[in-house]
Amino acid sequence: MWSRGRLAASLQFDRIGFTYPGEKSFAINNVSINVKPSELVVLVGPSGCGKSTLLRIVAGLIIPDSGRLYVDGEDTVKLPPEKRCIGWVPQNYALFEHLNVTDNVGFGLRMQGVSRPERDRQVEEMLYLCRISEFAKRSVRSLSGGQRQRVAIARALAVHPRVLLLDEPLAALDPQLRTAIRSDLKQLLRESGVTSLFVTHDQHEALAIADKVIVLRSGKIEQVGTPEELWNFPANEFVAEFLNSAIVTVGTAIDECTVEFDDGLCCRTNRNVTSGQNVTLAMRKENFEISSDGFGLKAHVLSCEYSGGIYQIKVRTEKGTLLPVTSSEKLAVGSIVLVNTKENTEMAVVGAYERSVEDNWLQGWIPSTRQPRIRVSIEDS
Amino acid sequence: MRVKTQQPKDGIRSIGKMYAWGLATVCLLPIVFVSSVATTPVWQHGPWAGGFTLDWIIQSWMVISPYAFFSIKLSLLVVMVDFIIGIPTSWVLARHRFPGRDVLLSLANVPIAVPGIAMGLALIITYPLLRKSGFLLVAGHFLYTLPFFIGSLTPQLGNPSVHDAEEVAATLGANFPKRVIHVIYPKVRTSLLAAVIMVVTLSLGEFNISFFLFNPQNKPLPVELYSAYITGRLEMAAAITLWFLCFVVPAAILLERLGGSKVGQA
Repeated sequence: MWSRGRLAASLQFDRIGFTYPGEKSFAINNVSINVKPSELVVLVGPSGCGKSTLLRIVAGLIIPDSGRLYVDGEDTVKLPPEKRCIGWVPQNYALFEHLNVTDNVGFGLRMQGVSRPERDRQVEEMLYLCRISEFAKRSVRSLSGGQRQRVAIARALAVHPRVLLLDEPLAALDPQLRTAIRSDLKQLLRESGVTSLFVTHDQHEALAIADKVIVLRSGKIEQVGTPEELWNFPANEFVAEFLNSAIVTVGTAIDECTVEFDDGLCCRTNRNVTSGQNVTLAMRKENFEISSDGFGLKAHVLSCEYSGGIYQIKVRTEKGTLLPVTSSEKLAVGSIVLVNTKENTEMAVVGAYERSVEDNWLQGWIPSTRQPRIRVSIEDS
Repeated sequence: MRVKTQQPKDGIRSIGKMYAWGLATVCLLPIVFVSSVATTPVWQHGPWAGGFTLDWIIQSWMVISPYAFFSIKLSLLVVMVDFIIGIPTSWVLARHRFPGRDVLLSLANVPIAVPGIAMGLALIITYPLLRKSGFLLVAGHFLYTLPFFIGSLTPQLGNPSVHDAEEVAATLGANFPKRVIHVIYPKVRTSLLAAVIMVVTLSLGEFNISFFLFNPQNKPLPVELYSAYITGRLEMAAAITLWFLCFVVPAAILLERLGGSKVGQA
C-alpha cells in the first residue's frame, strides 16, 4: 500500500452546521458522519444540497458555525488549511498552469520543505501510481481532461494527506471518458489506501465506486449506507427517486411479503410488511414488463425513448399510476399496452428499516423466492 | 486540383476596413508632419527645403534630457506608491464582499472623472506647503494613476481560477506568503506588468496636474514640452515631441501586447 508517510485517518463530523453570510437557510444543518480509515465515501445529492460545502469545511476553506470536525480524533475546526494535511481535488482541478506536470505534483512537497532528491523520488513514485509518468515534463495546458484529473489527484496524494477530498472530479469529462476513468479512479484510490470523500451529483457514479454513500438534501443527511443498502432499502421517497430513479407509489399489504397497488397489480416486497398496512414502494423499470400473454393491467404509453438496444417507456394505468418499463420494440405514444410485474421480481419498500432484522440480506443481497408473483388478468380486474 | 471557394463580398466589412484605415491615417498624419518639421532646417521655407538635418533633435535632447530623466524618476516613484497602496486595495476589493465595497470602488475611480486641473488646484489649496518638496507632484500623479492600476489588477485578483489555485496551494501546505510568491504572483504577473506600464505611460504623459504642481527644480517633461511650444522655435518643439513619443509609444505598444484592452475592467 502506498501511504507510507501517514496512515489513513478516520473522519468524524459532529453536528456540523453552517450558513453562508447573508443567507437565511442552512447550507449544512447539524450533520454528523463517521468515516472509517481508508473508506471511500461518496456524497451525493442535487445541486445546492451542501456536498461541496461539506468538503470545503473538511479542507478548512470554510469554518463551520457550529459542531466539531475530528480527523483521527483531533479536532481540526480551528486549524488553517495548510496545517490540516487534507488533499483537495476541486472540480476544475485548479492545476498550476505556470508549472509542468512534475512541478505540479511536487508542489506540496516543495511547500513542506522536502529536500530535492527525496521530492524527486516521491514525485516519480506518484507519477507512476497515477500512470502519468510519460507526461512528466509536459505543460499541464497540453493535457486532456482525464490526464489533468490524474495530475490533480497525484498532486493531492503526493503530500500523503490524511484524507483526500474529490469535488466532482469526473464532472468535466465527456460521458464516455467518465465511465472509462471511473473504474481507474476507484482502483487508484484503493491502491493509495487514503480515506476519501468524493462528491458527485451522479447517482450511478455514487453507486459504482462507493464503500458508503451519503445522500444529502438541503444541507441535511437523508440516508447513509452501502450502495446495496441504499438501492434496496431507500429510507424515504427522496432517496428512492433521486438515487434509484424510481417512481414511488403506495400500495396495501395483502400478506407479509406481498403488496397490492393500482387496480389489483401485486408484487413481492424485499422485506416483510404487516398485512393491511399502507406500504410505499419504489418502482423501477426492472420490476415491470410489457405483457405478451394477455395478463396484466391496461396502460397508456406516455413516452418512449430509445437508449441503445432497448426502449425506456413510461406508461400510465387507468387509475393514474405511472409505471416505468422497458421494451425491445418501439411503442407509439398513446397506444394501449398490458403491463405486469416481472417474474421473481421484488420491489423495494421505502422507509426506515432496522438493520439488525435485515442484516443477513445486506451481506449479500439476493432476491428471495418466497412466493410466486400474483398475476391479474384484465378480466379479473 | 483544389478549387478555391469564392467568398461572398461583405459590404459592411469593407466599409469598416476603409473607415479604420482612414482613421489611422488621420491619427498618424500629425506624427509624419512633426517628424518632417523636426528634420527640416527652416520649416517656413517648406519641408526639407534646406536638406535633411538631425540638429534640432540633437539640440532638443540637450535641453530636455534633465526633464526626461526627472519624468522617468517621477513615474517610477509613482509606480512604487501605487504598489504600496494599490495592491492591498485591489486585494480587498477583489477578495472581500463588505458593506461599502461598491462605494470604495467608485471612490477609487473618481480621479478618472475629475479634470486634472481641478485635482491639481485642490491639492495646492489643501497642502500648499508641500508643493516645494515635490511630494504634491507625486501625490497628484498617484491619484491620477491609481484607478487605472486598480482597474488592471482587481479583475485578475478576483478571477476564480486564481482563487481556486490559491485554495489548492493552501491544502498542499503553502502558507499565505508562499501562496503569494508561488501561485498568486505567477497568475497575476501579466496584469501587474500591464498595470505598471500603464502607470508609467500615464505619468510620463500627464500635463494638467503637473502644470499646477511642478516647481522649477522638479519640472516634468510634458511641462517643458509646453514651454518649448510657447517660447521656442517650431522645429525645436517638434523635435522635443519626437523624443516624447519615443518614450511613450513603445510603452503603449507593450501595454497593448500584454492585453491592455482589459485594463480598466474592475
